[in-house]
Amino acid sequence: MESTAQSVVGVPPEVQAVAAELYALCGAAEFGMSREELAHILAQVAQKYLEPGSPLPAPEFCRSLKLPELVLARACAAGNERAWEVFMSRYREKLYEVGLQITREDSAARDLSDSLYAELYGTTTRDGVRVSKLNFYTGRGSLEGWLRTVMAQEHVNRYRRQKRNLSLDEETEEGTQFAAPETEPANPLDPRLEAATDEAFTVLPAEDQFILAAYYLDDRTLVEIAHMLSVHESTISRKLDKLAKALRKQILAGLGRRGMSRRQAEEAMEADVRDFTLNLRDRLAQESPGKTFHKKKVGAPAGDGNG
Amino acid sequence: MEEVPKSVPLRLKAMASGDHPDPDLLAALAEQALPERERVPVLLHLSRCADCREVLALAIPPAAATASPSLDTGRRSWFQWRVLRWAAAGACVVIVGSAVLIKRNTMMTAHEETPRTETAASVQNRSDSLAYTIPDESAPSAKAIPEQKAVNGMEAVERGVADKANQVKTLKKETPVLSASPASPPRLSAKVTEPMAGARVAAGVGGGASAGLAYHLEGRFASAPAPKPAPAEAAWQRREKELSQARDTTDLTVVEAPRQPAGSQQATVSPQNNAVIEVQAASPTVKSEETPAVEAGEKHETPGKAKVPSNIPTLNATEQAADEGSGAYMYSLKKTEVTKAAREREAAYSPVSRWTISSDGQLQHSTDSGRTWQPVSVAEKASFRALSANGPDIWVGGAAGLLYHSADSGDHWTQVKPATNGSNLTADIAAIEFTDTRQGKITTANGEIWLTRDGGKSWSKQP
Repeated sequence: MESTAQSVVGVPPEVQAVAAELYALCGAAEFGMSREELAHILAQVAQKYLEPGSPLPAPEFCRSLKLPELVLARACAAGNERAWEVFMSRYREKLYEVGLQITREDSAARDLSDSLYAELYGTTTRDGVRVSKLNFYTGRGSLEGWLRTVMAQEHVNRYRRQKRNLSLDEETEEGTQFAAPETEPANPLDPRLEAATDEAFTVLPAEDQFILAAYYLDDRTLVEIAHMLSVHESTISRKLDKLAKALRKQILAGLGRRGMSRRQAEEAMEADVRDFTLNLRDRLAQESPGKTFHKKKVGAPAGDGNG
Repeated sequence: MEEVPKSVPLRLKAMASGDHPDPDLLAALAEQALPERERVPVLLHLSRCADCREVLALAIPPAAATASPSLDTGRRSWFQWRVLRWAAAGACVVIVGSAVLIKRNTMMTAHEETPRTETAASVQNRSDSLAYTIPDESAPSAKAIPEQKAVNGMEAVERGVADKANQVKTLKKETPVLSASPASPPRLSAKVTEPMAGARVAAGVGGGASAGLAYHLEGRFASAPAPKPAPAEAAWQRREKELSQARDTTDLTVVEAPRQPAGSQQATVSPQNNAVIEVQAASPTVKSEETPAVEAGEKHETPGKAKVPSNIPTLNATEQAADEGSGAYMYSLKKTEVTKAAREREAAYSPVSRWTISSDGQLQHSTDSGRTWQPVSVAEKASFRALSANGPDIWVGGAAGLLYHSADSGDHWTQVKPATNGSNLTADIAAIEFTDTRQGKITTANGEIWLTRDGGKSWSKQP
């Protein structure tokens, strides 16, 4: 089986041991993968995610991976026919179902799933080597979850590309062709308020910040946010309530430390948002579709979402 | 829900998002497969990056929402429905099993012969609030009644004995307890209620035995005082002796009403020797199958067999046993004369004749103790849910105040429309109780109570 993965200089002995230990369990032999190849794959994944000096030992990390699915994906990426048979039987229809759930439209779902399937199969080659997106699956989550995420990413990318490519007629319909230029707002956000708010965020857990962003920026419902975090809706409701109170208190304290009286602080917090400086275009450009969806690039496969 | 300060969403939007996590990490986050040290930076990025939030929202399968676990695992309560439903099921099983056991014991003891015996010690062992009578353990025969020990009510009786109240507590359980010992003269344990409720004595006696009432009352009380001398016991004992002198056998007969819903039937215990003790059979435990029907005038040797001898001076004696120290142990026997009407009623009130209402509201009559049933046509398309039968006097009630009466065992029916002060009975009739042919009570589904004292000619509505 030809490997498209970047060669790893030396495989740590503990990873080799884990590969030997798990070789029989992960079904690698069925797809013509040798122990050495499995060890290489595990070392590659461990190198990608484990920082030097990480508290998590590599063997334990390797054992936490979804090895059977990782082996299947890598075997498919290598062109193993048996692996493709298994992949097709398990995931071909699921790709379409996921596409339908994402796009909510039959034709768009078929188009999306077929497009992804082609990328997974590796219709392009680089330096004579077949390039498959399945090479980037690392087994951290399930293969199905990975396929869902990749498909969702592709859908978001397509949507943004489509938005930028709006025709003149469509712009007219949407009312954006003759949109008034943005004017400078009258009252910029008080820098003390900015600082106090940023200071409050530093002590806020990441999950709480995510909940705030999803609720106030994306206008997501409590159910949707709970869905994303795999918790109950009431948990999100309680957290939001507590967060609102805690943030008010902390920002008030922060403004007080910055010389504002309580009354001034409360007035500043309640000021109309429309009066604040806000350049949405710049900020959205900063958060435009990522140039890469990989924390670390491994090769440069075509078909990645490009902004 | 309180809103955050308006600067919060602005600053969130303005913050830099950093590198996007790869799909593997997003998928692992959605599947709760990321360790905390990796989860935090991904969530931090997500709080800054609208695109990645959108991808995550799209990537999570819909099924994950219904199966998502709660993070509040530490606050799992025992009072969740999942736990409570199993507890409720277990409680139902225990209750049903207990009821079946009690019923079995009752039926078993009802079949055994219980010759009339008297035990002075048992009479002396009185205490207040007797709920059940229990054979005195000091008496030889008491030890040979293991089945009594199994009766669930025993423990309740002992607790009641220890109470030292001065009133008889109304029994909660309606099941009459019949005790018998294979190794000793069987005895009857009779449970009694307050006098105003009428004597409730379920008695079944078999076999020829010594004179006197076929049953005797015994008691064993945890905190019973030392046996008291005669004055309290003498009254009823004297009466028993009087009766026993007039009798040849100790048969008590049970003239049992057909099996009916609770509260709507009566049974009459008629000692062969002319003692009639009115019994209100409030539970189906006094059943015809176990206490076979008895024709009037027949003598039977097994408990519960009905017999209506003629010219029987009925014995109804009411007295309250006095107990100086530990409260009362009450029963009531009321002495009345059997009138001709009562004899006719009892003759017609044969245990072979039974009435019931089927599940679809059809009135049914059996003349062979319930072996076969015949539908009784009362009115066209009439459906009933309440029934009272006193010999030939039958009352049936249904929805919307539908009420019919027959005085000739169902041969002819008359519709009755209770009304009082311009108000008619229009509610659904839930229960009918007639203590005799004249005095009756109708209870409706909405809680109304209608009373009559003249056999339905006039009615009053209880406020």
